[in-house]
Amino acid sequence: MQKAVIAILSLLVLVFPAGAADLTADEILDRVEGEMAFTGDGTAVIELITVNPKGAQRKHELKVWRKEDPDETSKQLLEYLSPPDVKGTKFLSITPPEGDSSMWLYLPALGRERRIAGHTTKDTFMGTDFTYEEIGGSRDFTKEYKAIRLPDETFDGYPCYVLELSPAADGAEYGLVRMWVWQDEFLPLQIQFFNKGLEQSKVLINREIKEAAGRLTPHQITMENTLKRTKTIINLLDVEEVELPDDLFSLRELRR
Amino acid sequence: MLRSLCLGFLALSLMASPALALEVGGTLSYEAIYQLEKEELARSRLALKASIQEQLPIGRLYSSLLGWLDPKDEDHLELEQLYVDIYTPSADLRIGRQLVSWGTADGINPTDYINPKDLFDPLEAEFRKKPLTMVQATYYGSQGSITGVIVPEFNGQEVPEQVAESFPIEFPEPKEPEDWQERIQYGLRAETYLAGYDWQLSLYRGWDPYPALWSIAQPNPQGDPLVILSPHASYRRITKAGLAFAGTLGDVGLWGEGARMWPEKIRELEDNPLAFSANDPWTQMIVGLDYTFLADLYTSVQYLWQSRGSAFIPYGQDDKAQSYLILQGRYTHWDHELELVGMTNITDGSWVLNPKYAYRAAPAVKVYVGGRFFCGDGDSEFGQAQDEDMVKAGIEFSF
Repeated sequence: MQKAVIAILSLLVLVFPAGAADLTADEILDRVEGEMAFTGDGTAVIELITVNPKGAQRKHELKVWRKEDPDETSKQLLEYLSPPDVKGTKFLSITPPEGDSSMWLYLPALGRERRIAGHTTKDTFMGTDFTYEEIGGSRDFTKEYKAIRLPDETFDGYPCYVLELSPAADGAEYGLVRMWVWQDEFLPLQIQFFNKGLEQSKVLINREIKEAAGRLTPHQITMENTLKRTKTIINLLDVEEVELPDDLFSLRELRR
Repeated sequence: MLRSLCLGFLALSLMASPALALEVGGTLSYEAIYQLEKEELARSRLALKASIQEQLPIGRLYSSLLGWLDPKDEDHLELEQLYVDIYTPSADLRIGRQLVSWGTADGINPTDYINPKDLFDPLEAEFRKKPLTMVQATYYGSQGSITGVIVPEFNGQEVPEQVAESFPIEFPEPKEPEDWQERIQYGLRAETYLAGYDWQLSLYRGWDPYPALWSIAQPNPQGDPLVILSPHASYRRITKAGLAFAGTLGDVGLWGEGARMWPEKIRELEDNPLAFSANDPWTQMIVGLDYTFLADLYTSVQYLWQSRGSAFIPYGQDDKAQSYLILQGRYTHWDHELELVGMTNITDGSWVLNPKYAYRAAPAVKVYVGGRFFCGDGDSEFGQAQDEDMVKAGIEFSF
């Protein structure tokens, strides 16, 4: 369950503005990657909905606190607000620029925290259609893929650059990736993922682009697994950019 | 007093409103347990566990209530916890009736000293702890924290039925500490984060929750029977010291904890073949690791070692060390969860198996079926409990 949560803020990722010109595919991808780095401190309230092949939904509401230190250590604290059976569950992760994350899960019924092992970044986290690296924002398309530019298109009414990414490194998870990038803001609005057999496996769509905390942010992020016919929807209910104290990201806070 | 507190709790719950910023939560559940060997319904329990909390300018107020109706048992109503948290810049205080959880292992924690655990309820899924009134203070520094606990209350366990039944004469009420100074128990824990691992060093000086039991045989001047047995029961002081750690090795979680226990010596236990308890110190250690396969299958294995006697029955004069292996697998798929927890006493080859299937029928409603099955020779640790084999079913609503 904690996995379902780790990521979420980082997904808010796929967001921010830039300028536009007649750019190459690599330049566009660089801009997208640059904009994907969420570097500020802040809080967010998020609704996470998972949908199974029969259309049944499971809904969680979470509050997220996030901070990035000057040395690029990333800290996240998440708390389940609902449903009642998981309310009060908290998750703390501290990720240094190099090396493994340290993660703790606090369960109110247990009355103490437990250390959580890291997982391979390409695993899906429980109950959702995101992988860890998609959720954690750790994927670097520029390192793993070679991009070419396709003719521009309009997506959801937004003028977009269209990129096609082919694996350039052995570690690439997908056989092909297509990305629709909003020309004004370098924000990916749709990403189609194809497996090694070039069969479309997942689609990510960012919708409801609105200003929040001074930035244009998608307020709904949907990842659909087209093979399993499952879907995960993240609705951003509230976001605030605010400086957070270091001791918020501690076992002390987790136990309170 | 308890009734007043419970009524106060209910009144607070009813008053809960956004204006008061009270948060109410809990579970309402029903569980039925059928014992297979005894061929009887052992539990038919409608239980309520409710908590309320309010954020205060200085910290937090928390209370929880536990009660049940059960035609197979006495009805029960208990103010489980009632405490206030006081937060200062460098220390947190928790004052009141509370549960303290120390340790890093899963389910069995040698360093979880403070609240007495009930080791003898065969129907409970886990060892239930008794809340105690205490003051807990934690100082947080840059390198870690130090927690001190002072418990002015002693609330020992009774002589377990299973032990009492094995002796022909009834044990008397155990002798308790007489005055409040004598009752006081202390705990101390230092905690730090080092080399990617959490470390906890802990110390406890207090009371062994289970009474020491022994009997003395005296010649019968009347001649028939030849000897008269006089049983004795007394609580005694105990000192415990332990170390716990938790961390990760790549994608594997790793933890361990161990404690050494020094019980107060009772002269009558020395060289007494009719003693149920012993004077010798002992050590309990557990190490474990876990790994999750493809995000759906959680697995863990723990190795438990006790230097003398059983890790679960604090009576007997068996000086042999005991080793256990605890295996857990839990597969989660959407609203379905299938779990199997098995524990074997490696020393005698006996097993206890706990399968469980749970289904999330609605966002806050869980139904489940499960059981507990003991296997092994009749004189082995878990084999001798075969008449406690049971199946269970329940439903739980969270609010």
